[in-house]
Amino acid sequence: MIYLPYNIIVLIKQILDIDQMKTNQSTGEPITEGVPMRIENLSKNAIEAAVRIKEKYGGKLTGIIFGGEQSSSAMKEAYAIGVDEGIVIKGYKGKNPSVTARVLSEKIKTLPYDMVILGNQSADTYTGLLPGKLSSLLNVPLLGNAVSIEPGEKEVKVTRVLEDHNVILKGNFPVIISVSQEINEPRLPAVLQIIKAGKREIKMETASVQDSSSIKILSDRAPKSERKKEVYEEPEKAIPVLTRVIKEAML
Amino acid sequence: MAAGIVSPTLVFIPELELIILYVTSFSAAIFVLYWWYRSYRCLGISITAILDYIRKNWKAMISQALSYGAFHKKTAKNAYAGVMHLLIFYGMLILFISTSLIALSHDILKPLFHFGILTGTFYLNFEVWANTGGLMLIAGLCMALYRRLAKKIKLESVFDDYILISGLIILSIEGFFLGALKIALFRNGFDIYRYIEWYLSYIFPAGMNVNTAIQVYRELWLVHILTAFALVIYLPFSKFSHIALSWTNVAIKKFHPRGQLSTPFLLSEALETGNIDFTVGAKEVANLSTPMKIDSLACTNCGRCERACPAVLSGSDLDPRLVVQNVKAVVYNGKVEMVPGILSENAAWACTTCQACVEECPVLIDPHSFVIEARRNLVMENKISKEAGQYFNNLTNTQNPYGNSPSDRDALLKFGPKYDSSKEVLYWAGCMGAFDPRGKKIAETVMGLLTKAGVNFGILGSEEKCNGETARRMGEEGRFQELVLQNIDTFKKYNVKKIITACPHCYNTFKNEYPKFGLQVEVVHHSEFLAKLVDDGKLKVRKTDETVTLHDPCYLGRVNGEYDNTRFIVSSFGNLKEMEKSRQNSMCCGAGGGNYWYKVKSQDSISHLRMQQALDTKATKLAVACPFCNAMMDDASRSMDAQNKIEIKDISELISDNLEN
Amino acid sequence: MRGIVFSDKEDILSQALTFFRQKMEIDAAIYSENPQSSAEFGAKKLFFLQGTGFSDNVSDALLSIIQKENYDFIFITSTALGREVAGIVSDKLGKEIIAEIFDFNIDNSKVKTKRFAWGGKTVAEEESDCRIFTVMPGIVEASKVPEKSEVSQVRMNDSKVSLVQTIPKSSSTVDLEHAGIIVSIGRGIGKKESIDQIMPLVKAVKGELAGSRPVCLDYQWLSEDRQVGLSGRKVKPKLYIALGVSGQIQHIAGMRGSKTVIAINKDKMAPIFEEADYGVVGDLFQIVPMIVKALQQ
Ligand SMILES: Cc1cc2nc3c(=O)[nH]c(=O)nc-3n(C[C@H](O)[C@H](O)[C@H](O)COP(=O)(O)OP(=O)(O)OC[C@H]3O[C@@H](n4cnc5c(N)ncnc54)[C@H](O)[C@@H]3O)c2cc1C
Ligand code: SF4
Ligand code: SF4
Repeated sequence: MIYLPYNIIVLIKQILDIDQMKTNQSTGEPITEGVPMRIENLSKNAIEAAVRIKEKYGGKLTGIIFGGEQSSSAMKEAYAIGVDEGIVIKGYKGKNPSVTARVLSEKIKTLPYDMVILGNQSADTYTGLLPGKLSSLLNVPLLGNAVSIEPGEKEVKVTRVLEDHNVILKGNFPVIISVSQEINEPRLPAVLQIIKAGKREIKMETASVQDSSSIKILSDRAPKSERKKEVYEEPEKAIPVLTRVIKEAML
Repeated sequence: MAAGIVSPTLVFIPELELIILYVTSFSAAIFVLYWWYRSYRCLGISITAILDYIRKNWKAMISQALSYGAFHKKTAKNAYAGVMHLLIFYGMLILFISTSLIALSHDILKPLFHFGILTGTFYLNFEVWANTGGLMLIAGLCMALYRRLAKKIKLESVFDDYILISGLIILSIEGFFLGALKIALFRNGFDIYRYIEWYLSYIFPAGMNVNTAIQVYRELWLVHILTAFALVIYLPFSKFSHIALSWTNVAIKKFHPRGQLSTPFLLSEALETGNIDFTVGAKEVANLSTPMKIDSLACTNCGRCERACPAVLSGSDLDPRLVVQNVKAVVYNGKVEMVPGILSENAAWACTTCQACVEECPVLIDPHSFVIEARRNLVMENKISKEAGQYFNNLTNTQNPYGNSPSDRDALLKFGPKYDSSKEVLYWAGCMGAFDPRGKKIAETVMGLLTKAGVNFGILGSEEKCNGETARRMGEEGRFQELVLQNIDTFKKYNVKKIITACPHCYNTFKNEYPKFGLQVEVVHHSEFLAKLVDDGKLKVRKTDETVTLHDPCYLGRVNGEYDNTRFIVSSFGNLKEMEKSRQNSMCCGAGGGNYWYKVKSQDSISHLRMQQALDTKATKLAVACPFCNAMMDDASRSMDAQNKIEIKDISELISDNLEN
Repeated sequence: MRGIVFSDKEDILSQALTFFRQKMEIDAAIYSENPQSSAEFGAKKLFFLQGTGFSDNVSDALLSIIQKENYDFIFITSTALGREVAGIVSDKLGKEIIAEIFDFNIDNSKVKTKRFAWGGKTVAEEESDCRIFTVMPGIVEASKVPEKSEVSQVRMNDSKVSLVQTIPKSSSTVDLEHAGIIVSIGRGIGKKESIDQIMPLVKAVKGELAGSRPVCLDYQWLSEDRQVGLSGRKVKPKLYIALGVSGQIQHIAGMRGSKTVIAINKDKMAPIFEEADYGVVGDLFQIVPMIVKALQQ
């Protein structure tokens, strides 16, 4: 029998490939049609971090995606990276972090775990609220913005990056760890590995979601993204403009 | 007089010594044969397999053994080394034949049937040949020694080499002295045909005591025989092992187009059958295919590959010779990891897959295939750099290396019509043509020329996807085959019959790699197509007095043997000034094998070395035929401050610049 | 209407206070080692959270203040700690939250906010009844007011997490990927020594120095980890200033994500101008000192 010291849950988000997303030339609105899905960047860091712990100490990795039918492709990729068991919860509708937190926490409560690992923010919305919300809902301490994770017998040490310094902190299991992008360079599974992983079973479940949001989107447009291309041939005229632009950027 | 011409028998060598001689030579021969067999046996090849192989392939084996072995089809490429090798090879061959003739005549025919064959004119011929053979051998060996001592070229000389070379020189000199002494003893006038030994014989005093002379002869003879056997026993452990192993290799080599890599699995099949339990690439030497292992045994450590390799020239830690040698050293046990045991990770990525090593290797080894196998495993183990990862990611997400939106490819539709079944040829612009500003200009130019010449062509726009070349060469076979299947579907949908490609890499891939996956179309590179249009007078260019030098793209030139179309185009308007390294000896620009997309550690950059060679011609224009070469050379000309010395132009742009109207 | 801004970074707090004091009566809470000037930006009351704080105990302390003061709006600045606290606080209060806003207006009883969506590709303008928000750093330039805040201390409970060690950030490592402003030099700089003439600009804008491939790799005027481009770093600063960079595609590949680009090049036809918001045609050695001078005024 294999000794499995750590039960790790990784939370994985699937997003539209925003790098491929374009905006309508005239209205500036995003064109989401035909844009493929991908695993969100920080989720990849989270999976990688979890896999590295498993590789070093042994353990079992459960991946959870709150998404839709199409999320099984992301789970296959996660399998190829090293996730052992995958659960896809269908029913994700919009970006309401409260709903996401509720659905995920309910699922997590049914599973054994020492660590829940997730990205500190996500590449599409940047809200960064999920780690805190989960910590509150599960009543489990949050070790956030980790760039290194060292699990011990009963506790885990984490190096946390802050804006102007880093700290090393420690918490007793179970914990939630949100990882920062610098923690690792996520591996890229080869196509063959993804195909191999694709043969493994994925648990599909459905969450019932009512979202009673008061938020109404008034507009969602690209700020004029084309370069302005204001070219000055007399430096004197350019200087005031440049100083203004630089000062704005320095805020 | 003719009747008296007889090779003197060695009456004064006692029978016992002769018996010892034959027993030992017989055992030595068995030893060598056994060692030869064992070399392959230890790779798991049984004697029945060997015999079976010979039975099936003997014709090809003989012709290959003759052309690559006896006639040095590839060895002779390099003048000095070629001459040297020919001298040693034929010197030894002649001496081997003469010695065998002596044995046959004196020790078999004479004692048993009482007649010799070494008589009369035949013997005189024999005398001349024997001396010439010895002379050739010594000359060749001296050349080999000089090459090592003068250190004019980088040549890995191990202590073994010196033992071997000096051993053989000593052996030949001993032979000459033995002959000379024999002449001094018997002094027959006809022996002057042994022109070297004849004159050498005068160093023995005329009035010497016959008994002493015989004594000296016997001792020298013994020494000679012992030296010879020592060398024979030493053969398997020395560079000369290649006489057996390399010859075997060239004889059994199975040829395939150079531009075609091995196919470790078929994705379509794997998806269909669900059987995916195969290993890809080589984690350990043991995982290499048997033909590759046989390849490694044949390596003579000659270093030709190393001297041609751009990765070596630029000071990276890749060395194709060492790769093959390192494999050879552990090939039987095989429990050594390819990375880092055989080559470093950096080295594995430094190969530009230019195949200069393949071109050079006299014994038909493909050193770069070892690198590919190592990469395939690195990819399977996710040991890839951030840049390489980004490359694969982009390919997966957007089917182009840039990660640009696939629909951006439609921008080219401004310059050429969309392909449909009414079109005769498909112009394949490639990712550089679609996304690189310079590549786009070239694509625009080519399409302009095609339109002008009235060619009925079309392009695929956003239906084009990267052909997967670089992914394959970077070891990501799965991604490569995904793209292959998608592109072949598109070709089939439109019933494409003929493709013109902008890029030699696309060209090679469609031509040599896609057929394996079911594509049967005619593929030409735009240089060929445009050359034909110029030749047919459909495009008229005017003559200028420009001096133009030409860079052969590896995947057009060395890999596909196409050198003439680009030269024809250049000569149609200007004066072609060849670089020192051109045609099959051309040097890579540094971009191939994925090196355009990531950076390995090296001292110099390959592109700068190549640019310098172009500058050395003093030409004012550098003609290129590949968008990657173009980018590499352009960058080098900037860094080297050479932008105002030489202008870099694609072959199509040169036509367009010099059109008559 | 009353609101509170919480932050663990003084400079970001002062920006947010400057912005929100114009919209409502505002208080502030800060968790910081030794706050210096937080009381000078127009908060009516200022709460100092004391102790060693992590997301749990900081949130508890903030919640107790919120309950006592009964605010209409809660703003938490977007820092690593801030986002965590916002998650916990919004959950505990059971209130809907909008994250990462950079504009805020009250229109009738509704709130109108702006934030970036789709990874920064678009700006979403939203109307809602939300009362709690995280606020992007740099919402406006901070400015002081004469009146000082009324300061009180709040002692925090112990966290479930314990601090092992604090590690100061080493400033020597180059972190182009996260730099806000990058000054990038190309071959136009001419020689290594001339970099000294650029440094005043780099300092004045508090930027990171970067370079094109020839500068970093071929000539080694800068270290290789400062190379921007296809074979170097991919950067996305707020402002990218390209000096003597011609703008070849392989360079552009590394800086395309920059929000604003300034280019100075003496060649009017240089492709970098196609990728610039503001371009100046001229000698960089003349123009750079002019900018530095203007910035110092
Ligand atoms: C595979 C590959 C990968 C590459 N990767 C990268 C990469 O990652 N990053 C990268 O940068 N490049 C990369 N390159 C190189 C790229 O192609 C260009 O060669 C390089 O970017 C040019 O650098 P530059 O702009 O500094 O130099 P140049 O192109 O020579 O430009 C210098 C500019 O300075 C201007 N100038 C000169 N003097 C002055 C002055 N006094 N005042 C104002 N302007 C002046 C000139 O007008 C000119 O436009 C790569 C190339 C290849 C082939
Ligand atoms: S293919 Fe080219 S770069 Fe690679 S090892 Fe051979 S010679 Fe060197
Ligand atoms: S691989 Fe071929 S070219 Fe290279 S050293 Fe061996 S024999 Fe010579």
